[in-house]
Amino acid sequence: MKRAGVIMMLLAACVLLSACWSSTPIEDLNLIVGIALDSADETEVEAGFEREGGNYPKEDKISCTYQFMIPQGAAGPQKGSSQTRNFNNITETGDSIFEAIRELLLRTNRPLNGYHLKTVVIGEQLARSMNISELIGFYTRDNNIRPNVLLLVSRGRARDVLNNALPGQIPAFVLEGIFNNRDRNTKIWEPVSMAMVVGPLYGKTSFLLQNVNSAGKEPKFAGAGVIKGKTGKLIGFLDESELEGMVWVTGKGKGGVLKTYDPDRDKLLTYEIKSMSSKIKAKVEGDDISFVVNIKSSGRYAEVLASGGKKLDKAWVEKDEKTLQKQVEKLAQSTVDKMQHELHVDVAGFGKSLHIQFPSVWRKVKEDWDETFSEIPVTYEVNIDIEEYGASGITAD
Amino acid sequence: MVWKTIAGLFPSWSMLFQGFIIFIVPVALTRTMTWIGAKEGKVSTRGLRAEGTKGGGVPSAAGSGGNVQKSNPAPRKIKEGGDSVSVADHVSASMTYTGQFQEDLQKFKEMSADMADVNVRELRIGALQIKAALLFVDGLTDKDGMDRNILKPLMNAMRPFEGMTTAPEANVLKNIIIHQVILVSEIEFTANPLMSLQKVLFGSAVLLVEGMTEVFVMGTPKGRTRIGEEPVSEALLRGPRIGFTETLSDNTAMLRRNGQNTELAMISFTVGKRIQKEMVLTYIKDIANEELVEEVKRRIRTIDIDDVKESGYVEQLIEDNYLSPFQQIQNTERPDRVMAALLEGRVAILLDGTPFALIMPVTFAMLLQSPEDYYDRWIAGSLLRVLRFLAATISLFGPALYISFLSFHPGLIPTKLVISIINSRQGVPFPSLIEALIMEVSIEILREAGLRLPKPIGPAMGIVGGLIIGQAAVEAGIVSPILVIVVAVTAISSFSMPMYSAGITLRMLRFVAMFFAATFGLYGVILFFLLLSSHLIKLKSFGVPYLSMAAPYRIRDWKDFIIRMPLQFMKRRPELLKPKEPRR
Repeated sequence: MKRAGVIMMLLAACVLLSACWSSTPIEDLNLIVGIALDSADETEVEAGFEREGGNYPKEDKISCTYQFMIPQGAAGPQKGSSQTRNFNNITETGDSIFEAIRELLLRTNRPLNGYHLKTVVIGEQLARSMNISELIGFYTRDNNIRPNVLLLVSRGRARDVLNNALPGQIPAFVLEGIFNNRDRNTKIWEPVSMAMVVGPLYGKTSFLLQNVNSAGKEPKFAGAGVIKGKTGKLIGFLDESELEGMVWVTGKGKGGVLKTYDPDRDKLLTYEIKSMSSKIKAKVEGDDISFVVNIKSSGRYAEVLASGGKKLDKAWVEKDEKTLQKQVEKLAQSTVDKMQHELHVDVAGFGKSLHIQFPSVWRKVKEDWDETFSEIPVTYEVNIDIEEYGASGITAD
Repeated sequence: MVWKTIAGLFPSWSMLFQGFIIFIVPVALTRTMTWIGAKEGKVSTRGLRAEGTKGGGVPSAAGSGGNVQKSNPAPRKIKEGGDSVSVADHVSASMTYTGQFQEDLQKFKEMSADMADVNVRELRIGALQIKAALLFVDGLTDKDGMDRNILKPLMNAMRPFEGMTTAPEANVLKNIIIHQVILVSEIEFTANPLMSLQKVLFGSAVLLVEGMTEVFVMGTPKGRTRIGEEPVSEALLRGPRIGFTETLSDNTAMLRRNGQNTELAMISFTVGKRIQKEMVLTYIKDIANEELVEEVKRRIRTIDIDDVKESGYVEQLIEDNYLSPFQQIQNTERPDRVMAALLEGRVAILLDGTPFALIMPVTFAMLLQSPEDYYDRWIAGSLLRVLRFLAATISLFGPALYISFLSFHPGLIPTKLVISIINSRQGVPFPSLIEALIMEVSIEILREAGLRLPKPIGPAMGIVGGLIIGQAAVEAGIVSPILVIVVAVTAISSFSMPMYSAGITLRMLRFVAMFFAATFGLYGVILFFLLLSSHLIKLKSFGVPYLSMAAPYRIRDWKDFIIRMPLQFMKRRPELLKPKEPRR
């Protein structure tokens, strides 16, 4: 009987003493959904704290802005919730990202955590001056933050991007969601997650990050930032049409618009891309390296404003295909030109194809590939196939 | 320095405490169980009774059954497993009745030795006092009609035998009896004992008369009997609408009617010390494993109790592990279910006074099977069965997962769901464990209350409980709406168990799982699952591992486990029962 008593006590102790081990109720957390990193730029609030003596020894280098959600109150019909902001941004400036996030706990009662972090936006000024791998070091190391967090750069202040969204929406989610439009627009670069940049940064390969601008109340994806592998820093931007060219060269698009003008009649001709693919073929003759970019696409007529002629006529379609091919070539050409002669980097994967097709040649040139690439001639073979005319065969005259 | 390194390898206190708990819970459970087992051994004489040194339930032939057989001192041999020979073998020795009354009667009794429901009524015919015996099955024949139309005329037959001093020739006697005595329309003759036994088992009365090599087979189908109603606890959409009743003879007759087979053995026992009740052990002689039958008989003999009120008493007194939350004997009201189990090689027990029959041995998969799986086409049957496995999982782990996700792993919930959960939990004052407990306990109370209420009020209870309390609790901010959904889904899942008592087991374990989840999160839930698995692996029901098919792994039996294969593929009886005849 005594033994049974002891056992019962032990069991009771197990249940009572250990209850809720390391548990944190979900409603007591502040879920970070987005982060903006800028070069030191204190907010008014922070400046106010410092005036009042709320300061600690630090070097002002980075301003981290954390975006977290504000719960919309108890259940039941929510009245006019779309009018209020359901997120909050809070900024802390310092030299250590980790110290800054813990410093924030002096200002909010709920611990911040990154279980559901979606996007990290890096401001242009900071990205140009600091290595990306230093910036995301803490976030890749943290256990709670997933490696599929998306990285973006912003021409201008990153904090402003996170500030703006249509009412009722959370900017961090908007940024993540825009990537879903890649099947309808070619001016969006593929989503780049933190896990995907670790490799290139370590291997000193250059890569692109989607750029997002903010103006007024909305964010807009505008071109892409080019990160140079050697330094891990931002060295320049591709604008929207250059990014479009980049998408054609790499074949990474999923669908979108190709616009051109009929050269004879100067009338608009747009083509909807249903699929695209590209193959970069390296050619080596002695010491001379050259590339042929083979682009293929199929799609349908979207708008044809040219009058006269039968649209179902084969010759006509072929002529339109030629026009479109020329346009693609032009786009690709200008992008590669910019890479070779302005930025001196290769972010389209020319080096990779050379590496795969001619490993021995690659070994010779890989040391200074970005510079070598600038001198290499690139030719294009574009093949566009208009396979559908849409529901109407009549031109708009 | 060295010591410091070694000391550094030891885990910290919190880790040690965690490990201690993980260790102590299963150990304490096992120790408690062995301790209780030992205690029980000391205070009771179960062990002695099992060996037969102390009395318990006894086969009625040896005991004090008040039935017809007792008035016949003819030696009745309870067939023991090893020398069990089927009826067909007996008959091959002597194919016909001889006309010698005692010898013929003896032959018949031997054939029906393990069929306690076959009754023998001896009589003397008319003025000449010719020896005769009436053979019939209790419950299958219309006793009233038999008394009036067969027994009475036979015994009172004076006129047909006027002027006779000795029994007439067999032919003459036969004619006299058919033409002048018996008031039954349906009469056949047979000289074959096997045939006559068959007729008896299927509801006819057989008259054996001295000096005649043929017996009278008289159609005396049972008149109006109380037909079993549709089983309340195991309703089916498709399938027989009949359930067992409280009368043992009705129930055995129902089984006979369900499976017209001469190999269906029914062995009678009387149980209870003060109030004796009849109990019938039934199995199919050429299918059921003999060791199993012997084991069941042995355990029945250990029953030592004043009164067996319901088959639940028998269940609890003969099951393997009475400390386990899982039932090791299945109870059912459905004759078709019993018959199906018998045909798989299982054994069933029927008790007088209750409509619940017991089926043993049981495996875990059986608790999730319904006869409907076999009546519907196999695709539908398999779908339903998979659904039931899913429902069992939900009803066991639903709230536990809710607690562990919310308190420990918010990162595992999809972002949009997290947002809505956080929004809905604003202003809920309790931690998720207390919140879940409040809701779970109140729904259990509701269920219990709904069960007790008379039928017309039952649905009203559901409305009050489900709609009003659920809605009000959410609006009052005591619980979050997500939890109400979780609790409702869990409750519905537990009701979808075809065995009501299996549902209760899972419901009970659900609370344990909730505490594990609140202590260690998902890790705790997994620990709980492991604990449960280790218990189930050890558990046996009459020598058959409870998790049979899953572990030990028998791929051949999987045809009837999670997926119900077409009947054409199920050519073999379950191997785990080691049936005598493995092929169907």
